[in-house]
Amino acid sequence: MEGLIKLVIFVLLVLTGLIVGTILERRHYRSIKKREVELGHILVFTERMPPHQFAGQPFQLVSGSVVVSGDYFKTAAAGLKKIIGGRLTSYESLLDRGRREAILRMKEQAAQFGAQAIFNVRFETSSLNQKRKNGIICAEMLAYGTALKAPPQAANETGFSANKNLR
Amino acid sequence: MPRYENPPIPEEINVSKTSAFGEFVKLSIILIVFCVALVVIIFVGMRYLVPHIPFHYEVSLAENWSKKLDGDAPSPSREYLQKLAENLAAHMALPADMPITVHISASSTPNAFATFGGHIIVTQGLLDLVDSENALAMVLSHEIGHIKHRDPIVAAGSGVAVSIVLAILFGNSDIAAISNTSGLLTQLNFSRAQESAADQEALKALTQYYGHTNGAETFFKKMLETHKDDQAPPEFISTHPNTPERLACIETGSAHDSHAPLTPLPDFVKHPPASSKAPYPTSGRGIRTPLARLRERGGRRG
Repeated sequence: MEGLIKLVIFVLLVLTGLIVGTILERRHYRSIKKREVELGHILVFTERMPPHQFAGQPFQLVSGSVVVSGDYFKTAAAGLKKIIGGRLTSYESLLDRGRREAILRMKEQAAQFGAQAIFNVRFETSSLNQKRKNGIICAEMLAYGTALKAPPQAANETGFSANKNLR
Repeated sequence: MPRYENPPIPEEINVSKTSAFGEFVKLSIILIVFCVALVVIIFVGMRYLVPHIPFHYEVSLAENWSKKLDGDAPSPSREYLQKLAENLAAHMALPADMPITVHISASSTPNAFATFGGHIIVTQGLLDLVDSENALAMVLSHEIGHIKHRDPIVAAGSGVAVSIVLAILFGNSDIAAISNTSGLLTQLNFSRAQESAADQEALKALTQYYGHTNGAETFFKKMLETHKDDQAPPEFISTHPNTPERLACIETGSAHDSHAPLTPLPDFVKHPPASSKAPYPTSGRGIRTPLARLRERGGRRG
């Protein structure tokens, strides 16, 4: 009979994860999209060489990191999908959110510094899984780069908005 | 001078629009179908293989613990049950190498079961519950039916095989809940089929031995009466079919006769004698001892 109780608990956990997890994910995506619009003036590039006009300008290392974890439903759905392989669609949205959130936090730090661009942006991901082979997935996403303040006379044709949000 | 810009990225590139829940449900259904098919294959495979396992393997398997089951003193109850079982077995077309041995357990819970090697264990609680020899014969021939179909080894063997395969495939993961439950429910379905088949064998034996199945009917009616206030568990998680169904099977049988006389039980079955002074007490009405009656009946029916 304990097999049936385990099944009932499993179904309850899956439903809780599904319902509450979906609500929280939608809320997070709304927040992400809103902040992406707000911080859209800070440009990010993986380019190592800033343009010439940035020479001599103040710069700073900025980073943003976030730890995301899936809910029980994501883990169960991924566990099933792993048997036959393919895209784990339940994890795709989780890691997409984590990446965008990390970029946004980096931009927020750059905005505090007063920068208009972040160059040489790199990403790091590390998983914080417990020893258990089938534990709930948990990952830390880190984005870091060099934030640069644009010179006051930066021409508009290069796309950098000068003098905006200077603190 | 190049223009530096961050255009907005379309949402669908990194995140697919397919519903994760729909995919989960689809995969779960496939998993359940797979587990049911696995259990069916293992069970049916066992049933095909088992006739190739000679019965004396089972007997030697059971020899170690079966000797410890009975006490040292000869028990008149046990001899009576053994004789009754042997007489019933003679009418059930058992293969020659299947000996039936009946043991009595002192437990007060009514129960009877058949295990490897043709050993049947009946509890004192069951002996106190039955009120006629016919009802007792129903129980005994039901268990003999299990032994005839090699049910103990089929059920145990396929149970072990299913557990091993599911443990290898899914181990202790989260979805083991789905696979184990579907495997369990399928096994219970097979168990209920085994019980129905044993019931059919028992009714045939009763019909040949007594000419009617009245004792079985009264036994199940009494079981219904005793447990009518209890909440019966739903049938899909039980190893036996529900009592009303078993009763309906008997009542629609051809040898159903509600008014046929029932053979009474001897006294010593209900109250095992504390001392061995009088090993074969007779009932107060001066009727011949049960053993003499059985001998006579055995001679009459051949």
